[in-house]
Amino acid sequence: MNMHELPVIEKILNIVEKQAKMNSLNKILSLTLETGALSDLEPEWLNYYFRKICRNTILQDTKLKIFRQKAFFQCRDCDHNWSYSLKTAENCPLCRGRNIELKADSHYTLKEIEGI
Amino acid sequence: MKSRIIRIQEDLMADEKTAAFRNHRRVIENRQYLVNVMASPGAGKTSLILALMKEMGELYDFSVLEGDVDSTVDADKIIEAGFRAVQIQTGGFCHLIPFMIEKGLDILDQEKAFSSSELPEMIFIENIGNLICPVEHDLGEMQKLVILSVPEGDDKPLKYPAIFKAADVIVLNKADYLQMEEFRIDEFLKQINILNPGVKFFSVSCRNGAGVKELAGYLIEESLKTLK
Repeated sequence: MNMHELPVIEKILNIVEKQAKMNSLNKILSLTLETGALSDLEPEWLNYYFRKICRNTILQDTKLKIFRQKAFFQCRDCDHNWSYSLKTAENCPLCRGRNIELKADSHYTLKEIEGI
Repeated sequence: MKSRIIRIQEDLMADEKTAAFRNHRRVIENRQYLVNVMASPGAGKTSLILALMKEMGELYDFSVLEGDVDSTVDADKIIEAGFRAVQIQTGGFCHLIPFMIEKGLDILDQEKAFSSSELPEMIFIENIGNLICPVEHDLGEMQKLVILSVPEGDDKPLKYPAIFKAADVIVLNKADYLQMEEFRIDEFLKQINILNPGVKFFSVSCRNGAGVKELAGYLIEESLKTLK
């Protein structure tokens, strides 16, 4: 069992219950989550535990929208950026420079909720 | 009835980060320098920690917070070598979390109450053998020290970008294998530079001691900046 998703779900529940009260929401239709490219959060696991933990709560039938940011490379010489792949980790496609950097992080953010 | 969208923008790891920050503040106040050592199983975490403590000898009181899924094998090794160790058994968890470190620090503080030493403390956290999970879990440490050993291969940084990107120090262990293995050091350094420009890099061999003095010197220098 992957333990990473449980504290995240707990936190989501806390935040959403508070927001629902503040905004008089009875039902949460959807949640939008964003993760960084390097995050080890797995949507299938998150969905699986979410369904189990949120049964009989305001989040019972909530749709989870999970967006993972894409990692990209940036050239430190000419500022050009291009999408990440192991094959393109050699030179900048624009200036052929080798001074390149991987731009990616591992945040998990609850961006917004939709409810009625 | 029309649905409403409420913008939240909240960090879901905030509680854990707060706990890590609490650890960080606490160790600074107690003149303790915390180093989080991460690597695959067998890369040399325990060996390097032992080698560093022996090298730095008289300057610090040393302790190790030893993280393993099970057993006390590593903590026993540390204690046999004459240093203090607290074994944290996660029972299946694949990484340490700030709460575990907090409990470990509490135990070390209790033991310290019986010591009359005035020396500052260096505390090594030996994290669970794993190149993936530990990196997302800040423990409140001053240094994230990541070890890769030569037999693991020179292509690991781009395969495990998160941990190599987050490292403050990258140590290449088992450097005595460099002649025998097909490890391309320039390829390795190139990948490191893409992920983590300016990271501190050391090449060591725990077996023959090469490079350990330099790494120890770096940790001493850095700890003096923080503990001052």
